[in-house]
Amino acid sequence: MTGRRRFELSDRAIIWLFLVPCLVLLIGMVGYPFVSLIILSFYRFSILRSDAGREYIGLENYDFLLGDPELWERFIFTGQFVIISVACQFLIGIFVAYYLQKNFRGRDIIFTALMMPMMVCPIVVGFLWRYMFNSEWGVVNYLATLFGSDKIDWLGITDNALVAVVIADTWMWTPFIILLATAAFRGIPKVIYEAADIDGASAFYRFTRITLPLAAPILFIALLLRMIDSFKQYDLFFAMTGGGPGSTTQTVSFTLGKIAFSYFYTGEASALAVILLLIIIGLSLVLVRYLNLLSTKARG
Amino acid sequence: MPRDDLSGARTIGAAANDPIKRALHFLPIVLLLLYSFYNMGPIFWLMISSIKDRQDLFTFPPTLIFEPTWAGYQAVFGVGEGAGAASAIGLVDALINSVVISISGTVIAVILGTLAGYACSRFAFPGRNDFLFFVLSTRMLPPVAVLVFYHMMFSEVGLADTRIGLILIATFINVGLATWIMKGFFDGVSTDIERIAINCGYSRFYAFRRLVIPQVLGGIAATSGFCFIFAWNEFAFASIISTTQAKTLPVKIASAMGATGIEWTQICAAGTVLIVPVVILFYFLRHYLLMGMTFGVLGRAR
Amino acid sequence: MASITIDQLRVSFGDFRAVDDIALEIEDGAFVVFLGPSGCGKTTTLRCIAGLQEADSGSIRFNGEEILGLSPSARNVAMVFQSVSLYPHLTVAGNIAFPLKARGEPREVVRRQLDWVAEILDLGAIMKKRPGGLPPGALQRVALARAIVRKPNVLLLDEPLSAVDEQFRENMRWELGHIQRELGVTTIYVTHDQREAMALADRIVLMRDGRIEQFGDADDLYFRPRTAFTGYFIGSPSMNFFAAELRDDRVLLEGTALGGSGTEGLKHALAGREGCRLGIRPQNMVLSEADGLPHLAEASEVLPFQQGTERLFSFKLGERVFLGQDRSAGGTPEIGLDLSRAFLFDAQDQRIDLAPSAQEVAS
Repeated sequence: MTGRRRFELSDRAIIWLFLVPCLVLLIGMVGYPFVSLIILSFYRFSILRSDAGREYIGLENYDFLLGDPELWERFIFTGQFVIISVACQFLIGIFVAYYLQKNFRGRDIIFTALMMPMMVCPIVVGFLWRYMFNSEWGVVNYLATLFGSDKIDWLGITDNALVAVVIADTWMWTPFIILLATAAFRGIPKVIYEAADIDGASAFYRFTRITLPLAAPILFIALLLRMIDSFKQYDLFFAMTGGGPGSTTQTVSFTLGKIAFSYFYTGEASALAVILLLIIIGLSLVLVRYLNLLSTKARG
Repeated sequence: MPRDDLSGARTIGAAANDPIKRALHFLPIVLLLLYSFYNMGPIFWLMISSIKDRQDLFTFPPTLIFEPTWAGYQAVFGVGEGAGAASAIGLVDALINSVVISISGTVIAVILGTLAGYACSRFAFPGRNDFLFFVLSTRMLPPVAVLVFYHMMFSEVGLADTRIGLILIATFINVGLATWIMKGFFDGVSTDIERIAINCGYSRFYAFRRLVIPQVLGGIAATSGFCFIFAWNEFAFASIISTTQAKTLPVKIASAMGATGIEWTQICAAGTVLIVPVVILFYFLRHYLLMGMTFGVLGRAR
Repeated sequence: MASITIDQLRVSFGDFRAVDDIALEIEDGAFVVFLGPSGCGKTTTLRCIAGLQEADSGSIRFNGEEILGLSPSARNVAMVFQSVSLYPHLTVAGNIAFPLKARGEPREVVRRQLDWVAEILDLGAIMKKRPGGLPPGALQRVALARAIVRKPNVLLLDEPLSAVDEQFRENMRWELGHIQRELGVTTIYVTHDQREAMALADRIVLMRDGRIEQFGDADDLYFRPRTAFTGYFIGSPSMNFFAAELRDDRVLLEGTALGGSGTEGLKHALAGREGCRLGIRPQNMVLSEADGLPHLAEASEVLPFQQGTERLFSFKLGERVFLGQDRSAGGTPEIGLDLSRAFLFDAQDQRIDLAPSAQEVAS
């Protein structure tokens, strides 16, 4: 049988055809801003006073930023937030997805409901949790008093505020992990689980030696995406803490926003953005390398 | 021969006698219930707060039974008491904008991502890893840092305040995500079926369209869901790019609310309204979302 | 190693009875084949024994001990599935070692068992490879290795060769039989291919619609079918069935008279009965010059043809087509029936004993 086609696409043509639109769109959309960002980072410039022109100052922006000990603290704070938040989302997400594997009645309704936190507009999420975390009349403190604790000042104390934002961020993004993890788990053929049962694997052994390794590639992509997005988290901090108390809960993103739109030091903001970008790129490279290793192992 | 294995671990019958085992058996259920409460509770709180009167909002202990008021929703929709607000005019337009932009952006992003994901999954072409990393990096830019440049760029090209411009935005923020997720799903589909089809003389494109795509419907559904969420809730770019004509719903609602400080009821009402189309979409996709990754030659056993 | 006793086993899916109160005794070390058409309940029964399928009622005992209610791992059974069930992310060695490691066996034991299994199944060359690129034949050998590595009580195989290319199937069948005899493990093998069953089995359990049609060794089923279904299912090409009746002291097959001598036993059996069928294998219907066998008075469209190395012929009685062996040598052949090898089935498809003198079974 030679099939019936009048016009056949060679593999090469397909590669080009499939990749080029994607590439063109992205370069078109990202090219100018990205390049501008890098260029402007070497200048003293403010869009507010654009007529004042710009002054080339080399690495001065970077020196200023990297020499500021407060900025380093914010980097550490951001790192804490990213690690704790993503870890929580991951652990909870995988746990829930594990139990969503089996078919049970009403599962798809429950599943849709569980997805809802992801759907809420991020700014609204920020305000909602700010409302719930209010130390005087917030519902969270109400529940706390039910369990015998005093009212906690959530947003006024730095460590508490970190916890509060982590709770809000985890609430919002765990469904993301649940969705991808569920897809990954349900992709494992049933017959493999049956073989494992017969082979005498306990549920734990089965989960760690079979389910997780086979689901690992997708889980890693989920982890990667969440990590990148976490660094960009802005709305929650804006709405819940405003960077406070003082400026202790200012993440790098928040600081960026401040420099760009409160002080309008556009050049400096660009430099900070480049620094942040380099950090995210660095971490991503590490994860991606690990992901490639995993994929080749799983594909066999 | 090994008879002792038969007297080994028994199933649920014996577990019921051991109190520790019984507790462990219930632990996951308790945890899952706790999570459900954590997950759904705030949603419930959002909705209930959207119909609370100002005084009911700040009581302690929080009130669950009260006279509902629709003032929040009226403000959002610009009707009744909220009719005077500047937001009154044009809400329907904003809604249409949002729907058109979000759906278009999602569709284009999913298509581009699926194609690129497939190519990257099946062909180890030179520069593949660089391509993939570049695509991922488009997601790494914090909007705050580049808003200004987008405004300038769009004004220059004449795309400021247009739907097309916003569709482009909605697409580009999602293509990276779409490509990576779809590549992940394609990686999970074995190449056996494609190889067989190609050996039988079918074109690769045919194999791709008719044989492989059906196996990743779950992935396409998940990607579409995510892309729609990000496009629909996109605020930062939209508020900079669109000033009047192309205003999307979130921007519209935000502009309506700034006037008198934080109007909690209005915010919650806005949040509830905004969530509805997304829930509808996910409800329709639910069967596909739960499909999982692959049917594969390995087969979904009975 | 275990003897298996199945008692009143019943499995239903809603209203559908997949396994209908079957009872069976399998002795220790036997190679038993569950044979039958799709949907007959053979795989469901196998999965019940494995512990992958819950039974509604009944009991299954290994060496006298009840195993229903035990988890699959507690039963110490091993299974080779129809579809590929190897762990794709592990090497061949990793796959085979899995059941041992899952039960916490120490490293030396694992190593020893691995070497032993690799040797008898000749897997040394692929131990470090992943299932990904291997051909189906190799995959099932690995699956078999994984199954026997822990010396299970019972070995279960669910149509393991269905995905294997025809040319390798016979070889693997032989290997399987050989290994089973060496290990002496009680084995249950499910298949719908009766040739496979006839080649491998000590005992065959022929199933239909959730019930056991007949249970015996290959000879029993081939030479002494108890029902028309058994006669039809076993043997290739399949058995011819003629509507048989006695009229005016003559035997009529599909309305055509059966002439010649030696038909007394048949006439006797047909007397007073209605709706009977005569079953006779193509091997026992001969197209040849007069040879003393009872022969059909007439037949239409007699067509000799070649099938492989065999010379066969087809003919028609009425609208129905039948097959037989062609041993003609020119001249005027007639269609003869070796009644000593024929079976008469009553209206309920049960075999009627023909008079002893007409039922000589030569082995």
